[in-house]
Amino acid sequence: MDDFDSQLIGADSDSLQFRDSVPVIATSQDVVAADNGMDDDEEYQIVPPAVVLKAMHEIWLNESAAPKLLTYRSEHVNSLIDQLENMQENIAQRSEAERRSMKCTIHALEVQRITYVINDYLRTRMRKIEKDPVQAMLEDDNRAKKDEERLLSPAEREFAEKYYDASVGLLKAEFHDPLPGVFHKVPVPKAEYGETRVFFEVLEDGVDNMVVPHMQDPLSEVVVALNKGSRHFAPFASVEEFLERGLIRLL
Amino acid sequence: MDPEQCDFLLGNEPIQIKPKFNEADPFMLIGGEVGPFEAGVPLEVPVWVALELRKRQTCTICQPEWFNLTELRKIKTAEGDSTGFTKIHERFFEMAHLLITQAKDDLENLDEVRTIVRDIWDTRSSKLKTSVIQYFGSTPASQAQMDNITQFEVAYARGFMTDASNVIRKLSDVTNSLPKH
Repeated sequence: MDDFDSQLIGADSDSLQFRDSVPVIATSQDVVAADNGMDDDEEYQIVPPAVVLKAMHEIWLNESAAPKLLTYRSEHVNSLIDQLENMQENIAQRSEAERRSMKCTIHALEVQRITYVINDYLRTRMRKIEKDPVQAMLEDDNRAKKDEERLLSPAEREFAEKYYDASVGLLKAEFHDPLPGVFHKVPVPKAEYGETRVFFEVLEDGVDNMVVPHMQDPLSEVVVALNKGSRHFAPFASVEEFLERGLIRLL
Repeated sequence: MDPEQCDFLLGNEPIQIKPKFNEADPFMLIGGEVGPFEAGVPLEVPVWVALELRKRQTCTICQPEWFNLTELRKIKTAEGDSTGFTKIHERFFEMAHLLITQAKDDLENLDEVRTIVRDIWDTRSSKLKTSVIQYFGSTPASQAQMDNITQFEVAYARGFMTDASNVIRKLSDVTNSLPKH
């Protein structure tokens, strides 16, 4: 039993650390550096799994509450999946009796909790892709052209394309063929997510003022100061930029 | 964000427990270290660990310091006195629900506590209702600031607030695009 923990994730005596071959990037700005310098170990930062896990919860909450797809956070998801697989291997290597012990049960429970968070994150994203696959693919292409962080993961991209092809195929087979050519169009929902309102909390000091279109007068705007710790209910378009920069979190 | 998600997140909050067993080596969980456990010595663990241990009857859950009769009464009075929301624990309602349903035997003054929590909920939700009515009233506001609202109340209000805002926005788009006589 004493070896249990030392076999876990190459654990050191103090904080849990990732195996050296699985680097985790702390901030999104560092992602670009990592992608360019795959062989260069100095560009990576070793981050404790607890920090990654906490960040994953925030990412999950933001994705749940946002009306449109946010950037896919591959580094967090992949490193957590790595951790989970490692832990599951460790548990599987234990004997039947040891597996029923409290220590094993608690580890297994934690694996289940983290699996739930990741699965729900992916489920939410898939639901949003299904709602509007065209918009998702278009935006992904735009970002690829501008060499920015991609919106979708490769698997999601494949899913979006397959889903779109399947939907169009069904539409053609059931509706277009019997109807004359003038009806042969694929309806695409209007992408109108900016106006949906969201609840959010301000995380940092010194955030720029938020600009909200005035409800009564469409030509004027309301400017609201954002203080740290305050919570608001406002249109998503006004705060999307702050969310991408990590200055607010959605509730 | 559903109430179910709120409950799940409650699982990550720290809580004090008194274990009934000894375990010299701490558990090295992915989310952090938990332990070592010494019988009778209180320590802090995440709520999900505490619940599992309690299910196996290997610990008792200690009442959080903000969850006793005096503190709750203070919160209730403060809530009654102020027009906005007062600052309460982020997971106040989820934690209260958990302790009252799952840790009955570890709590004192259960009935009084239950009544006070219910009163606090009533006060806060009625404040929410009046402010919502004002927000959507004859001149709908463009945005609202609601400090100290908890995640659980957000989950409660989100459904109707987002839908109502969308409808009002569509209506105001239509009326604004009409030619003015």
